[in-house]
Amino acid sequence: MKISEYLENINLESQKIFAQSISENEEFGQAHHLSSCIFEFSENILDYNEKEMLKKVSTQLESSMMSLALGFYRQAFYTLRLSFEMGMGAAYFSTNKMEHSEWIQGKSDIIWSKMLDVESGVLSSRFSDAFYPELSHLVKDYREKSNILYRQLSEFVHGNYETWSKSGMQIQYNKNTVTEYFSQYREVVGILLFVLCIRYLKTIPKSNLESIEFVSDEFKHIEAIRIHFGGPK
Amino acid sequence: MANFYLRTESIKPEEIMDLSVLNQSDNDIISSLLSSEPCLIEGSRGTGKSFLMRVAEIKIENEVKDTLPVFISFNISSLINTTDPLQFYHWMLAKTLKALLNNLRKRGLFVSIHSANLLSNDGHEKEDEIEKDLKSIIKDFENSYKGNADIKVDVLPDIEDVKEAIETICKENNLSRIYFFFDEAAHVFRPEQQRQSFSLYKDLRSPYITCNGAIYPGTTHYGDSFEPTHDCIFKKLDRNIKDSDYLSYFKNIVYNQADEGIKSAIDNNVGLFISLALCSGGNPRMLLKTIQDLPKFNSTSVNQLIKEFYRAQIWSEHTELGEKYKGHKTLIDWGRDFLENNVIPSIQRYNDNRKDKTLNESTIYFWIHKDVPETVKEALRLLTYTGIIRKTDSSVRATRSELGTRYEVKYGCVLALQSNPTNDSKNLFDHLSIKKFPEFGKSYLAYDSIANLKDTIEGDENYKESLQTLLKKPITVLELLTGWQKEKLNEAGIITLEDLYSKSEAELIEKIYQVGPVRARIMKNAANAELLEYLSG
Repeated sequence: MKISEYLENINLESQKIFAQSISENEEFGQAHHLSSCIFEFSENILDYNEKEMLKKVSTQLESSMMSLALGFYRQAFYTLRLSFEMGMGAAYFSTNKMEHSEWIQGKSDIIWSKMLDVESGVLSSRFSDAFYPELSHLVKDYREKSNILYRQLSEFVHGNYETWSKSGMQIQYNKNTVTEYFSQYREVVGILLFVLCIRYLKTIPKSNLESIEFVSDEFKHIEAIRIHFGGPK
Repeated sequence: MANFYLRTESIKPEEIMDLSVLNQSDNDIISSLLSSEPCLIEGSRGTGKSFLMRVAEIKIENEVKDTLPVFISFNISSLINTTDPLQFYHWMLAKTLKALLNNLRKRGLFVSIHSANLLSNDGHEKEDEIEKDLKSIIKDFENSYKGNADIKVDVLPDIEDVKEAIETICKENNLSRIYFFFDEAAHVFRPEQQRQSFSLYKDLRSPYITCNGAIYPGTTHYGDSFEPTHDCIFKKLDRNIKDSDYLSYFKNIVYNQADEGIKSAIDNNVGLFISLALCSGGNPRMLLKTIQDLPKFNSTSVNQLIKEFYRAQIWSEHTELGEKYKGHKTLIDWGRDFLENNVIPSIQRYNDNRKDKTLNESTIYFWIHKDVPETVKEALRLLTYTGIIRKTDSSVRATRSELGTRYEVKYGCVLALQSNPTNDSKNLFDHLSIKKFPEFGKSYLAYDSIANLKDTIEGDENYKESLQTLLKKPITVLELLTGWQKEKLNEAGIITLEDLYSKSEAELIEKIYQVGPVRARIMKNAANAELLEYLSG
């Protein structure tokens, strides 16, 4: 078998998975909606580099979803984690401009533990007290959720033993993995939108709030955000 | 004591069904919401309108796959004033269509090609024409109400274009129907906005669209084109404390949110729970709030709480409305005074008399003559909004066969006046009779202070200035008066609204031949209605 035939066969297999993935799962629409929400939120951010970073997050989420549809599950989870890191990174860099510039120049990396630092990270009380004090009582819970989720996603990246049985060595459709993926995808975007709300919501003019009404749909159970959008106490 | 969800908005969608408690009447309302006919639910604050609409939305989402539910909360934060007379209509329409697009996107029926995606620009050409159309319709409406450009209302898309676009979306995506759920009536105190929202509600009627909505009891301005009894299924969300399943229903609502400690406290103090449930007068939010605020579930705490909550706290929400809607402040405050100083003491005297005479009768009802001044009716309407009173029925005969409207005062507000409410609750409840009520005739003394609404207006200079412009209008603008009545007024030298306001009913009777107390009241009511309209805006 030539290499081209070999790749052709993988492609055929992948296409079968693709067909099965999109016919059996209604969550793709929801996932696309959520990635679009990140994009639309970014359009309300003034800083060019932060905005661009979030646009990349949105594209990566779409790319992750496509990997999943084709049956490349490990790659899907990997890209989902990357989106998570970059989304958090945008908020983190918005208050650490020197590090942001260094990252753009390729001189430094995004470091999860720094971004999620209890004292000064994007889900610290200090951060929320500075930008959205009414949400401070929620940051601890979100921080813990973020760390657990990041660890779970990292298992695929580091190739932990358990993940091989989930994603398999060969490409093959796996309903359970798909379900788990969408659940984690929703969590990733939910946390990112929450962090973006803390950091930017108060800077967005009232007249632009309608362009991000999805925020009020996602977080209407959080009183401070509901009221911000003109909802009831 | 506990931490309950007091608002539907605070509940995550995935928890709604677990928390739902539905009785026959709720299921009946949900069936109406699921039907293809448009449905309006009327209920005061906290009675569970939003919750039932959410349940219906979830049922449609899960059970009727070829339809799409779209839930829209009309929060008004971003609306600014423009010269577009139909601004509110356009704003609602744009919001509705945006919510529709978002839901189509979530269903996977529409892709945001202008968002970041993996396709090159060539792929953008593939955007469906119809979505493009809908988006451009939204843009036009947004520009009209945001005042971004010169408003050319006549070139805005027609409602027929909107319906056509929705029909095409349905056909292309094998959807048999779109269900819109309109919640959180931002237009509650503004007659013009009420009229525009009902126009939209009616205009959106199509074989592919069902509009459902929640309204407050004070909502009365349906406009010329909308008749609630003809144009929709009209459901009242009332939970009568006399219903046989009342207590079990409310117990289940609390149990669905309560921890084991609270459940066992309730089981060990059923009598106290019954008092609290009756006090809420059919309002789940109020029951949950009072239980939540209890430091301990014993008779001392419950008695103290009933007194504090139903004598004072319940009024704070009502009074706050006056801060929010300054034009209504006088009426809101008057309504409170009328209830606290006249109605509730009358009910209490009525009950005490019967108790002294060992008659087994008690009441929480009162009756108001049908011809009371318009301002009194408006003040009572505002009280039904917060749910402190509930209109039970109209055209009720009272002394000398006079006709009037019967209202129920929230049970807790009557019981709270007792020194030991939980002790007296059984007696009050067991002997309740809807046929017994104190009466307030058409010329009750307390009405005098708001009979002439103009005198009660407070506000800044601009407010007063625009009021002056209104007062200079001729009385011919009053739609509630007949040609003959206007003519008679003109003959008597009453030309402008101000002239009419400045005359008392007695002066009208004296000045105009053929005008007695009834016509004088009608004339004053017409003037007051015009002024109320202005105050609401």
